[in-house]
Amino acid sequence: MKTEVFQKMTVKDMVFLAILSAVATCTAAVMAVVSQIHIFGLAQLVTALQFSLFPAVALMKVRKVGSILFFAVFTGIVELFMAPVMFFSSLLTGLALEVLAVLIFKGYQSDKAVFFSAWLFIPLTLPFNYLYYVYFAGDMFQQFFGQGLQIAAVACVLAAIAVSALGAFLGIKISRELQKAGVLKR
Amino acid sequence: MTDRFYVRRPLYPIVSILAALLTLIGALALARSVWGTVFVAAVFVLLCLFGYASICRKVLPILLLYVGGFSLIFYLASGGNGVFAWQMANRLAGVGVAVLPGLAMPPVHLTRCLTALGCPRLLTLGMLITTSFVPVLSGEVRQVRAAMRTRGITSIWNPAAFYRAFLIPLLVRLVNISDTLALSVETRGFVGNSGGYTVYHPVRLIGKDLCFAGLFLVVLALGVAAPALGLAAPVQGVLA
Repeated sequence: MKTEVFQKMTVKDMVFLAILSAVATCTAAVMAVVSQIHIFGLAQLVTALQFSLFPAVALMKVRKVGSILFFAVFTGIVELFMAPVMFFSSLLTGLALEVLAVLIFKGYQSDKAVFFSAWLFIPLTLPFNYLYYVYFAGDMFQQFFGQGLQIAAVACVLAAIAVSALGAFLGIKISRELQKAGVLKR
Repeated sequence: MTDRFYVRRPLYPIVSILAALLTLIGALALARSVWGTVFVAAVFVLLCLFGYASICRKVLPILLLYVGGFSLIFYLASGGNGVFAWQMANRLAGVGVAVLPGLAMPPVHLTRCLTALGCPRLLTLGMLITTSFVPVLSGEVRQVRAAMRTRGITSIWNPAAFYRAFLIPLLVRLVNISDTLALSVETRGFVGNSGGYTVYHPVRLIGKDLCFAGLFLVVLALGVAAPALGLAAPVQGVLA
């Protein structure tokens, strides 16, 4: 059955996305501590698993264009008060992923599209954060990339990408189990 | 996030968001001088004066522990560089104080404000759920942990046990809560696509908000303009 690329969001979809966003945000509380350790990518590494697993579960149920953007907005609203940079980078990442998902997969009907968006949700914030440090926080850039921390930064970035892939895979696996059990219905 | 920190009369939500944003920017921009410390302390005092004294009192010990602990770590990690530790303390304090307006604001306050400003209702509903779901979530986690203990699983550090006995039951509960909540919202007459709607308890910009915003901007402007006025006070100059 052919489905439309752009479908309307319902109250049920929004509530599910909001609840999973809340769970993802709660599990990311550790970020407040590691954000003070100046290794680029470390904050993304510690949040990679939850911020790929929960978006994957969310997208497996709400397979509509806009889901990942709303997920980004809901998680970002909490970040707005403590790390506005993260809010804006989440927002831009959400927008970029929506565009890519529409252009490449024509929506989230396939599991590949779900994996793609859930996997790249955290890694795509890295370029935005990098640009922020380059253009708006020069002294922070020195702290992140000076003193021989470049190798640690590269290791953290690669690890974040790998952990995100694992999280997205686990999210899809869990969702399939829940769908089989009749708990997670589209 | 949690009602323990809510104040009786919070500032207008947009003023709160802008204050948080500018506190962070100000703390980062002024971190290298003593004005960074003065700016963050002034914002803290300003919040106390505008009805946030209770949350400031509750949060102060945690804030001091957070700033003090990390400053000590930075001091030791930098080989006893007091200037660097002070600059980092300014940044950390900025983050800590910037969180206060958001922590003290009931989520429904933000939702009402955004709804009145014409923000899509589905979006404000989602924001409301996300920001007020934490107590429900902690209750669910406790219940799942209790169920695990009943079945003889005491540790969640075993990946297999965590996956099968914690994560899956928690997600099942979340899906069920989501369905029930959506049904509850709809039965209370919530319609996402309705054009015109009114807010029963509107949140309005009042004199107190404008007064806070004005004083806040004066404090920020003084901090930023201090070097130009010949009052630059770098941290190393004070510690020398």
